[in-house]
Amino acid sequence: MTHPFSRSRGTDCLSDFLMDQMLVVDGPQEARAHMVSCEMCAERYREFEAQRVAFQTTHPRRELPKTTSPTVGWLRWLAPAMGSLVVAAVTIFYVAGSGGETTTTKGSSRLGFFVRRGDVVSEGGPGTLVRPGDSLQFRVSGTDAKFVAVLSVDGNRLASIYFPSGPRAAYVALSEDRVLPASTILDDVLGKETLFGLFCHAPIELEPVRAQLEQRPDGLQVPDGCEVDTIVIEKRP
Amino acid sequence: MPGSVQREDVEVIYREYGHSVLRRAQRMLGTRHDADEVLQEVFASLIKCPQQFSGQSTITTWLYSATTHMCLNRIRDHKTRARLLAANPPQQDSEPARADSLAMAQQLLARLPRQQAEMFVYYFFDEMTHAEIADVVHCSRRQVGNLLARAAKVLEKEALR
Repeated sequence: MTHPFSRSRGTDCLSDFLMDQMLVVDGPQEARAHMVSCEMCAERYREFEAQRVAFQTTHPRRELPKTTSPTVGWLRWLAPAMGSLVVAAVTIFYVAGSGGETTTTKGSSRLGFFVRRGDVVSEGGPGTLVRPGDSLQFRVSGTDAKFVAVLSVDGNRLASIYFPSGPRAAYVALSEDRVLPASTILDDVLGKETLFGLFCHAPIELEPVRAQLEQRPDGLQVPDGCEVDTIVIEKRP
Repeated sequence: MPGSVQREDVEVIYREYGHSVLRRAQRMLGTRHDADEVLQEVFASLIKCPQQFSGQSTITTWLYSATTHMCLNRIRDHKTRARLLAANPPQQDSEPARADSLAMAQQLLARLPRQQAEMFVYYFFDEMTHAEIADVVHCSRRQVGNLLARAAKVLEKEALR
């Protein structure tokens, strides 16, 4: 006698888990195609959508428990140091609009960064001169909740994923400027380095994007459902 | 850091995903009252300990895991289970009892080791694939298959008692 639990759907049918994800972000092509051909899954999806709408009506605003915001360790070096920002440091590190540096932006989401060298922190931008050993901390902003990643291509045409540490773009609520964690320490590869801020509607896999960048470092083929913001910096000794 | 979600982030997540927490909790626990309490617990937990969500997985993954944990906690607490049983009495019919009966499902889930109980929830309640379950519980597909098979053996013995 087998145990009494059972599944009711066909082997190709979609799980509740996938449907819940698809309510917020586009699902994989196969899932969307299945929804067209399977009335049971389509009906279930409509039920979930109706429940979602009803929930937003019956639970429009939640009295969430009040709590003090945790001190975020990774901001400690940034916030106090901002008070000691030195004009001379900005002059040294910033090159205004020349030498071919570009920032290309599609959409409303933006990538920025701060540079830390020793105890001095400065805000970076297009054409910023950096050195091996400098720390970069990225800042993102936009108007929607997005799945975010930061990639780069360095002077040796090697592509790296600076953020996040996992395999997919990470969720960031972009209602205001957000500083991403885990500062990146620059290696000793010199020359121009292009930073790509990727802002997507889904937690896309990043390795294919990184691999594509290495093959075509001059341009990122923007994945479907994503926006990109690009900054070019220069690393010198 | 996405893991250090701010309060306003939690409100957005609540609005967009809260319905799935409520639906799943009600499915596992059977009463709207208990489901509402789990809904509050899940989001209160995220507010109090934002570092729980590290951004390494999707928010759906985290919510599925948190909701399942909290529901299983209630099911495995014998006093709560007695109350749930009273609210969802087993069906009386001539055919062998099936886990269509929520009360029986809860009793069986309470007897399984924790990890196996989670697997059963994802596989039979949410009808997830082995790959999706592996993603939520952070193990390999093979381990998912092994744990489900082990749980099935335990439940077969329980069903024969």
